[in-house]
Amino acid sequence: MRTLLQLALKSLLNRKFTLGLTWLSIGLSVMLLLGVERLRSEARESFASTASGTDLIVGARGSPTQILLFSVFNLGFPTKNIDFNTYVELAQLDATDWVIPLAMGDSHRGYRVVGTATHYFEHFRIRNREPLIFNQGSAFGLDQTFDAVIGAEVARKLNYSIGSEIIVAHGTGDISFIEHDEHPFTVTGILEPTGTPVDQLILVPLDGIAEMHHGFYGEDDHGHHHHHHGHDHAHDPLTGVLDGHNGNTGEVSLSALLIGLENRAAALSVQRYINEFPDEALTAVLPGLALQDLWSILGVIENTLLLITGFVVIVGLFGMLTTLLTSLNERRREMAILRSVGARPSTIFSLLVGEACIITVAGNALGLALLYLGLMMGQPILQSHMGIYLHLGLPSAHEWGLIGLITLLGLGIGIIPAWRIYRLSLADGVTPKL
Amino acid sequence: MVKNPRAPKVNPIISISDLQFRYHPDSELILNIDSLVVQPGQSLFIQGPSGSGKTTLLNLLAGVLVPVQGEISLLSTQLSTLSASERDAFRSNHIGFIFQLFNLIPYLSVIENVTLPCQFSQRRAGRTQSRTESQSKSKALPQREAIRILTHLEMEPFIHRSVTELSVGQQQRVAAARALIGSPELIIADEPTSSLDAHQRDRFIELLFGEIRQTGSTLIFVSHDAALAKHFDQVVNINELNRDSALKSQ
Repeated sequence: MRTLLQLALKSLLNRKFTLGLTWLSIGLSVMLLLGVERLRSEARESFASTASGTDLIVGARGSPTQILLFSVFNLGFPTKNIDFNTYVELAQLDATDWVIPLAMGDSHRGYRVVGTATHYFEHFRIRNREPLIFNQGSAFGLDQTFDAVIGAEVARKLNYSIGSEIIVAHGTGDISFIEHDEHPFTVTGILEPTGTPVDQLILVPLDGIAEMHHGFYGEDDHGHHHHHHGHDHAHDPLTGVLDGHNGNTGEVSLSALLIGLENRAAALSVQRYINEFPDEALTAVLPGLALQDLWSILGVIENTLLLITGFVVIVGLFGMLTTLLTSLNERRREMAILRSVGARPSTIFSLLVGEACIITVAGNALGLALLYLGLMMGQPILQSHMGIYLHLGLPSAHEWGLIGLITLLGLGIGIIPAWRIYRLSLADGVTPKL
Repeated sequence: MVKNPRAPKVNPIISISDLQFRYHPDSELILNIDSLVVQPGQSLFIQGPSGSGKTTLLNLLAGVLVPVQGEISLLSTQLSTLSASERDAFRSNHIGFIFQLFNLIPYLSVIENVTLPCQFSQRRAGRTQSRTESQSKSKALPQREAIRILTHLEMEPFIHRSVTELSVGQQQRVAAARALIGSPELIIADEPTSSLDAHQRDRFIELLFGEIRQTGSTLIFVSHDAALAKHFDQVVNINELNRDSALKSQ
């Protein structure tokens, strides 16, 4: 066995140029396949980890996928808004534990400004139900209007620290013609990097958004809102939340609500209740289901990519087959010598299969090495551009499975030249006919 | 040294009786040998033109081919009683081969080429010990034995060369060293001198016989070159041996 392995290795080294190219092409194709797989699973994981604690997402009547995308993934915009009273009513339901309001539509230097309540930081969960952690500062207080909490990427890219001032522009995009510059926000908290779209958010109190828009439209009517709410603060479970708002929130229409339930089992009945909400046409989305819908759409693209990269690997392995087959004729002498010193035909067969196996395994190893090199280089780029956090962890069971499959395939392909040389060496015996 | 082929009490090293061989059941016979007996320590020269079945006979002796009829016994072992893999093991234990050309594996060193049979045969690896001094029991016995034989064959200066850099004559000596290592009972040489010039040829034969005389191996030497016959104890012409060849050559 050791003899055989040594022979195979020395024989491979003897042909290191042609086989090196074969090795390289298999390595590159393996890297491509594993890279696509890694990106796919990381993207899924990243998406799934973005709203891990949220049981329902509510938006104005519309497509669940769209609601999911704009509410937690910073992709696209709501077409319609939700009335503030709906928020109040849903928050008062017995079934809801907490409701986070989200008001979108403003931006600062390309980053989304989202109006929300301070309990966002208490309830919003990422990844494996981990809470958001502050790197510096803290959440805005209940009575703060022009405080802002910024995501890690915003802080890093714009070089902001605690105390930096943010002037919010209406609409999203880098260049906006309407700026709310009379009402700058002050950074009071910076979040730890999460690898989720939260990194790209500027979170401000709903009051701030309301005040800012008031200021802009020249309205300075702070008087009418109390009866607008029309409910008794004393018995209100929202007291804590609403006390923080100075009342302008009544003017703010919301883009989406994130809901945490007392009992997750009630998700379907609450969803139906919201979908049939009498005052307003709403759509309640179960994030998990909406994600599945999204994946089923993207699945076609994913599978196409997988198919293509799979074929690239097969092409790489066929390159190996060609290289091994073309060398067979000149190796008949070698096999006759080995036969003459006592090698069995099965030894000759194993030698060739072993060579194919070594090339494939080495190709896999190269592919993995290239993959991790690529991941290390691509990690910061992907995180900042797509909010996808790539783990540099060990290959997953699925990836090992793919590697195993490729190795088996290489072994299977190795049988072709092995079988040919086996037949030839049976016919040649110790005297090759050349 | 047993010089008399009719010495009564020694078992023959090769005994062929009533041998017939054809490649396909409906093709004509290639070999049809009534009887061939070679005693231990003898040297046999088989002379014949190419295409006369010499190569087939060697493959039969090697156990790579199986006769359709008749019996081949090597060292009192009937080859037909062995399985294919037992014949492979038998070959590596008891037979050393030298071919006309391309005897060496290009990606192995000179020493590795010579010690190759010891990788496949424990017996031959073990027998290198009895040839080297008994007090030295280091692991690298086959290597040391290889160097010893190569030195005898005047190959010492070329031991560390790549085999692809050796001349044909040097390659043949390396091949001879490989056939000789571990002192197999039988050395089969198939036209080993055909690619050598007259001077190299004579020197090769001289060195080969020098080694064989020491190990007591039996040498089967196949060649078309009748001039070599004078070196051997026993000479047969394949056409005389082969009952069918008279018919075939017409």
